[in-house]
Amino acid sequence: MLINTQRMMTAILLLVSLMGLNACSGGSSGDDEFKEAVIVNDLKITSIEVSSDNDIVETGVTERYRAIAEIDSGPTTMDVTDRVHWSSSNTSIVSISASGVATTVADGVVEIRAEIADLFDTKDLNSSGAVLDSIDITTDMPATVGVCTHGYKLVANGNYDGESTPRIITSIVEWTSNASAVAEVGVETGSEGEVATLKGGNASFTATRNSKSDTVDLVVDRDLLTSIAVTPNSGVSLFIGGDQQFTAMGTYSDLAEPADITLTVDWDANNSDGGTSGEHLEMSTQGLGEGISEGASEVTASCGGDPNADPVVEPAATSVAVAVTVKVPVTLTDIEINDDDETVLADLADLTVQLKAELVYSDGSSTQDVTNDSDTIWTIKSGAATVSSSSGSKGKVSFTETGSSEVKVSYTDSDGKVVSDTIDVDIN
Amino acid sequence: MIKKSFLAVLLIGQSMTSSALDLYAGVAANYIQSEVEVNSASAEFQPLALSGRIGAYIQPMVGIELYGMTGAAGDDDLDIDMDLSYTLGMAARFETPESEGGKIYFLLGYGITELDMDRSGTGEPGTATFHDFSYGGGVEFRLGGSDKLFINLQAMRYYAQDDIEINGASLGLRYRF
Repeated sequence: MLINTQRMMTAILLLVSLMGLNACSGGSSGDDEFKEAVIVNDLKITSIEVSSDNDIVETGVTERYRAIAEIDSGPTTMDVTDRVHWSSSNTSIVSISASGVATTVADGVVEIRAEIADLFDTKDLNSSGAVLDSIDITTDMPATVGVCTHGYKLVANGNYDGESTPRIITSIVEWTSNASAVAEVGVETGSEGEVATLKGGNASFTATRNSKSDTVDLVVDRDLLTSIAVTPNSGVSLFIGGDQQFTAMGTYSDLAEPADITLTVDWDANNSDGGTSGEHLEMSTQGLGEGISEGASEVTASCGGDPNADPVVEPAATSVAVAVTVKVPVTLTDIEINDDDETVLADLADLTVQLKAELVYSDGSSTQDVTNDSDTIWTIKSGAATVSSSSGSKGKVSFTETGSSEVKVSYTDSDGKVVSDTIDVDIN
Repeated sequence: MIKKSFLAVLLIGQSMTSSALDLYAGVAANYIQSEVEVNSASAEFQPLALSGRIGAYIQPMVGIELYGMTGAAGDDDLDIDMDLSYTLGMAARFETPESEGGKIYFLLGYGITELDMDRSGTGEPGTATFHDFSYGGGVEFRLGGSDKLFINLQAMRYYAQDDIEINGASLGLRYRF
């Protein structure tokens, strides 16, 4: 026994020592490459390509890189910027983030590399201290556009001393609008230079960097917007706490196709039954409606007006309204056989009776006939009768002789909630 | 680390040289199931492997054993070939009392597994090693009424972390010296 105890202690020490060699918990080396190989082959990626706006940028600025994957089947390309590993050949000159944003630190040329599994691509980046001589704004935006448009983009091109090719410096210039109530220009990361028109008038946009600037002018014409269509536009109902995304499409006299103006129209929800605006339904600036309280509401999408001005003086260029009903959420509470009767008599002539099962909901008024539903199960709890479980004749009770039987019905909803009821069926 | 390794070797030596060791050894054919699941992508591989074990009882129904496994046949999924390079580990063995020639046993230990992956014939990414607690169990029966030879059916989990699992099922023989 003494020897066995010694052996057991030895074995335990041995196990603990072995575990200690491999740290306290498990781990791996090289498993990330395994996962990437699975991702690459699952997506059928055959190659990746690195792109950016510029090959040469100022020292002390950022340059955004993208990685585009060639796909063997399905869509031909896929943006995998956030899936690849980014690296710089010399981080003392240029560093790069996990999302592909390079920051130039000192003058010099580096190789920016994106890789996933065994696939990779590279692109050189020159961090240059050359002096900015001038800025030119280019754009596909017409000189006159309608209200509530968005998506037109201004591009800032920087002309640098000693360089024949302008650099795209849209993301590093300072963008301003001289009439932001008429039209705004994007300054947030990813939306730099994007124009949104809000109401009729004139606006000028300026790109400025290192005391160099350029300006473009824009006329916003309220009359170019002829109508707004909102979807969904009928039969809209939602529960309290639920939400509904609305989309606004604008028809413009100068555009061949309607434009999505969901993000630039003014959304509002007025109560159809009086009361405080927004009491039943609350609208976000992005067109998302959220049910607040039970009642009828009317969603409006309008454009071109000034919410702070007298509507008579400056009404919306156009607007549209959609009726919305906000309801109290209902849940399944019970099931009833033959309106919850205790007993039913079978037909003495053919010794049968057809039972009916209805679901009852929490609002007390909603019912649903589920007699023949596939989730409804009819059984005999006692007695000699039989009950049909065949599709189309579920709930039909048959007797072969006089007597009494207790019949049970149960129903399981999609959330797994089960409700049941019983009834006595007699034949005398 | 070197001190711990030395201690482990020393303890193994002490265990093996203790008097009246009740030793056993075994071999088995293994069906390995390895799954790599990351985001919405997943691949499952079922390579085959051969394994061996050697151990000693330290109590009538408690043993300590070393096990090793090497790949016998690879498998592929998503145009990726997967092979088991090796598995090495140590486990404690706990048996239930024998009943009608059969018994249940449980294994708890720690092991290292190396897998070799080849994506679309590129040879990449190559090998990766996984170390983790291993656990499992099986059923074992005397073979032909022998008091030394047993046949067993066993299931083990070798690794389960970070979106990767390595499991195995085996059919084997064990000889008690």
